[in-house]
Amino acid sequence: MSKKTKKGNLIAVFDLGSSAVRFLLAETHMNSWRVLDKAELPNELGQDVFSTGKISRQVFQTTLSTIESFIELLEAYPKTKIIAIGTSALREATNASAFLDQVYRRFDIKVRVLEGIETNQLTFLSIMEALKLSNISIKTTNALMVEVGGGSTEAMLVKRGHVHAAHTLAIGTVRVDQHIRQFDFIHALMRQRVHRTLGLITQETLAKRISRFVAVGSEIRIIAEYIGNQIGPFIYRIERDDFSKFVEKLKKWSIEDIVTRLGITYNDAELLIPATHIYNSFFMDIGAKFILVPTLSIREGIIIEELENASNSQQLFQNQVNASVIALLNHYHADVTHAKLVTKLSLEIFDFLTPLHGLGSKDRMLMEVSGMLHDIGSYINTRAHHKHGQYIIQNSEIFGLSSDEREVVGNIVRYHRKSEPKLIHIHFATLSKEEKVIVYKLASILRIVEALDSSHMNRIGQLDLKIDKDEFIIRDCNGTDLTTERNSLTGKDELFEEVYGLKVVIK
Amino acid sequence: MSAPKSNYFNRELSWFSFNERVLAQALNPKQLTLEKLKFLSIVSSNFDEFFMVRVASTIRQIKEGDRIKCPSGLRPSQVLEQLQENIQELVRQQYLCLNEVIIPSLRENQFTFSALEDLNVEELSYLESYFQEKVFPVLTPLAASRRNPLVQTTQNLSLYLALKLRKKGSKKGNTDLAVVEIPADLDRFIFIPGRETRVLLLEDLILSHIEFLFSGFKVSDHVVFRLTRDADMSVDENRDEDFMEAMKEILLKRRNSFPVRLEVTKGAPTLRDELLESFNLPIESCFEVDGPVDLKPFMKLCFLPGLDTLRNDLWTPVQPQDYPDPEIDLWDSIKQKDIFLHHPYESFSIIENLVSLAANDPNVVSIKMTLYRTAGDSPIIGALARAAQNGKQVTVLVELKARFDEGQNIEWAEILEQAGVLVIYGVAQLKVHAKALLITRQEEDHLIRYAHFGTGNYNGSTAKLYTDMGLITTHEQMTFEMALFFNSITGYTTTPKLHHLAMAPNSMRPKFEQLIEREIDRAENGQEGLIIAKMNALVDEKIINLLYKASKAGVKVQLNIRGICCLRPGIKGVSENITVLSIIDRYLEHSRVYYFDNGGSPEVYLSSADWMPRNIDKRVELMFPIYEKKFLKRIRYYFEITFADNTNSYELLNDGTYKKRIPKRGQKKLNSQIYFHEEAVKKAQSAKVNKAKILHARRKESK
Repeated sequence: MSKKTKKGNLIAVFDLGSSAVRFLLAETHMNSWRVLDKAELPNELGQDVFSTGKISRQVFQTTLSTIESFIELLEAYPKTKIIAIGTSALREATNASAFLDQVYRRFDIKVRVLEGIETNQLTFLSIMEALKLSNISIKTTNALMVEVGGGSTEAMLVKRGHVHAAHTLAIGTVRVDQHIRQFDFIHALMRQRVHRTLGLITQETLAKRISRFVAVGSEIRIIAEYIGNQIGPFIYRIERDDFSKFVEKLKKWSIEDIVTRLGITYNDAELLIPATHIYNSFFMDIGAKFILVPTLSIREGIIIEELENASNSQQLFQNQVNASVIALLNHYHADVTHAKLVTKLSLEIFDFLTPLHGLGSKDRMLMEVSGMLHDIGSYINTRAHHKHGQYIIQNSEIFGLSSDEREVVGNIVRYHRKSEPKLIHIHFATLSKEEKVIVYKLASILRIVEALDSSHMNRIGQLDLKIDKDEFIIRDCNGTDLTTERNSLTGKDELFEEVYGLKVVIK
Repeated sequence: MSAPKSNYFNRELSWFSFNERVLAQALNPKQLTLEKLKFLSIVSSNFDEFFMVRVASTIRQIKEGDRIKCPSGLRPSQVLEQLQENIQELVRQQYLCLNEVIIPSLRENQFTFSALEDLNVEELSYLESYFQEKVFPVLTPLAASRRNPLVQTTQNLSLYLALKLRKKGSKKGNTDLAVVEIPADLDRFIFIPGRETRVLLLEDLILSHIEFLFSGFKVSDHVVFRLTRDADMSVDENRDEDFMEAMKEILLKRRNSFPVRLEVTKGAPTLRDELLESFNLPIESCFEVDGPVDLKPFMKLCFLPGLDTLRNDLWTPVQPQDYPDPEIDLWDSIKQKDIFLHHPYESFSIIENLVSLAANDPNVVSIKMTLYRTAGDSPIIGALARAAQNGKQVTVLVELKARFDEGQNIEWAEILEQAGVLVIYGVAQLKVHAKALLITRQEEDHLIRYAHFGTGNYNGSTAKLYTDMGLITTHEQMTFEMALFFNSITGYTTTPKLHHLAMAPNSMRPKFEQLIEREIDRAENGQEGLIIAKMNALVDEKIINLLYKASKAGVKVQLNIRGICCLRPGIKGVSENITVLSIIDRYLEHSRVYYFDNGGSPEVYLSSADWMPRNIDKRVELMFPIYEKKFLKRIRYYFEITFADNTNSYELLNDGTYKKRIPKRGQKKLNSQIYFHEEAVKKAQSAKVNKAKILHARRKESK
């Protein structure tokens, strides 16, 4: 029909949130993007799930019809890639799978249900983009980033541009709204829980030394538009004084007052009260003089993530994972030098064996994290430290990893020494088939490398790897004598041999 | 127009003043005859709607307890009494003008309203066959009876002949009432063949055949009458699920709602009283006219060929100055620079062309549009249907609730639906009055959106008669917000947060308040505050109060309000800094422009909304900013000219009367509409000359 030249790509994000279903259509072009269309309809997914644990039939149906109407909006753009995401309500609903199945059957859309930490990561991406586009740097400061959602609140401590710690609080506008509406009570409760969270994520960083407060969410955006100043294309700034005054005013206003003064809907006005308190609770504890409010959401985060996946530069993301891992290592006083060497060697072997294991960049990252964390359990006790390590990894938040991925890393660490994977090990048994294969492939590499630095002396520089018939030959480039290492290999190479069908020879 | 000492004028009485100013156009001796007739006809047409809606609602208020609801402090009964008295007088003047001025002048120009007695045998036989062939088959004579009470059978705004019939040979006093509807489908004017233009009114032809229709009876008395009924009712959207069906039902209901006015020809007081009794109307609601009932159809005569000396020259809309050459690619032109439109000086057909272009353009992926009042044969409807057939996503919001156009709107909405257009029938509880058009086009490597924002309807016929303004733009943020606006009115999203546009009923009032408050702040801080606004009506009490506050603070407020104005200017200590002007001329002033000086860096908005609660609170309206410096200058200049108009403008005085403005000594005459027309023509001609120059230069080169 028409001569279509190098068009931009269209990506639509359907965000099935706790209080609304939101739609965003963006056009991407090389590394840039712009929003073409937006829509949002209120939804009671959160109200249902947080009070009864499941999605009611009515909300089930209205959510489906909202999705359907958003698909109508795309009629003019048939080549749009649709990405659907779900957050806490879908994460927790007992009948979520039935719902997700329906969405898939009716619309051919697979909903990606985000982990708290993934939500954090997307938020982080969108915040960094908003800051970048306005030339605001947080590279030299400590920043607290808080997103209040319907079902949860995500808090992140960012030190010098890297996520240092992240935590998901199970309080949100809808979830609070469920239980209590009374003002002072919410306030007190909020203060307490926020205080605890801050304690958790700031650790040694004193809360008062946090000089940047970045707040995200639709409610803070409403407030920012009302009392803040726009200081960049996607960012507002609210001064501490103005915010405090607003909090005081809000206490006195009725819902009707809020609706008329802010020009918002009743629905938004009701959510505004708990949201303001959550933000305020954080703000009161830290030293920032103002609040930065980016107007990009996790939906834009998804677009940015897509762009970065497409251009295959996950550098930012990778850096974040690393920063998070280092923070964990420091926390447990681990031997970072050894960890780094093991990681380096593991990756060398991983890369060399790529034609054999056929794994991708995501798995390479799992290799890297496993290498870094393999000895973390020594903090508890060097005896059985692989088991302690698994426990620590399963129960820590590692920015950029989903809980499933943490399970995999935990298992790799678990099997970096001693017993090989067995189905009677419950944490291994519950992995999916694909995940088990990854554990086999990566744990076997780690076991070899562990032998290569058994002395923790950091002797090896660069590996010289070769496959000769059925032998996998390891040499040190500098010609270091590896007799000790060869000896410690005993019993550690069997898994490798099973997985790759190669005998390991250290020369 | 208000209770003593009230700070507000009553809106109905203020509206009456407006129609009085319209009549003044007809009474102006300098006006040409057919122009006078046109204004007489407009006066009638205006009254029809006014009675059906406003008078009906006033009567309802009286029935409901006659409580004071209006800030003017008048009771509904006081308002009605005053209105009826005023209108009686106005109607008298209207017919005086018709009989003493217009008809004689037409006669001098070989245009005669004939009576049957004046015609010769040949002409009578022509009329006879006309009657038998065209008229008689569609006549339905009806005897009024207890079974068929007149109040039930008489339709709103239809013309009837009422007759007192007596059986031939029967004794005096025994008469029957019968009615014949004058068929609305037939032309009211029958042209008699011959050298001169002679016209017989349809009702006179029918009257002459009454004994043929009621054979065996003799007519003892007759009148022509027309009944006006309450039409101030709408669909109960809480109750009715199927809006289309409910609307059709309302249209039926309107036929039987309570009567509010009887217009009747003079000369048969007994028959008149009998009709009033049948309709249960008091004598005050009866308007006896000395001439034909209902002058609305006389508009048609104003456009008859051959009487050019009796009317103004036709002003043909010219090519917009921002798009002087229709051969330039419209898409490219818009992308390079926005187009500001001032109709009808500048042609509305650019909009029709844009939609039509979009319908056929393979790169256009979607078209979204609001339609409020649009003619069914409008090229826009055709283009939208074609676009849908061409596979584009076409979404049209049709406002079924546009009063008195409902029937027509239902019809063409169904046509669009059949073509595959996604037709949205308005928004529950609110009328969508905003004028917006959004075209999305896939270009090179980006999707580009083209938007038209306007102050007037997408209606090619009214766009030739109403002054309106519009903007065609690809401004990224504005077009994005228009997309959000469409998502909102088509039910895909909750009310969006807008930063460039403001939308009623949510963000428009706060926006206006904020803009006025800012001028107040400036004035209070010793700077100059200035608000200039043009609209059709100013009724909103909150805004009026805010303007009073502004006046008190020293803000200069200049208002150009065509119709109703409830603000009372010149009250000491309240509104001394406010002046109100009204322009009534050949074009109906219709644009809404809001100018806030903002200390010299003006913020200017155009809108579909007046400062009336019905616009700001009960309708979906848009206001859009004008950013381009060139356009801001144009608007500032526009205001300068309109406020300098000293031929067709009136100033509202403190007592509620309007005083015609005349040139002061030594001042030149200035008619703003003529000025804008001439200026538009000049611009268009100079564009043509420029174009010709280029062509000429090329020819030289080729030699």
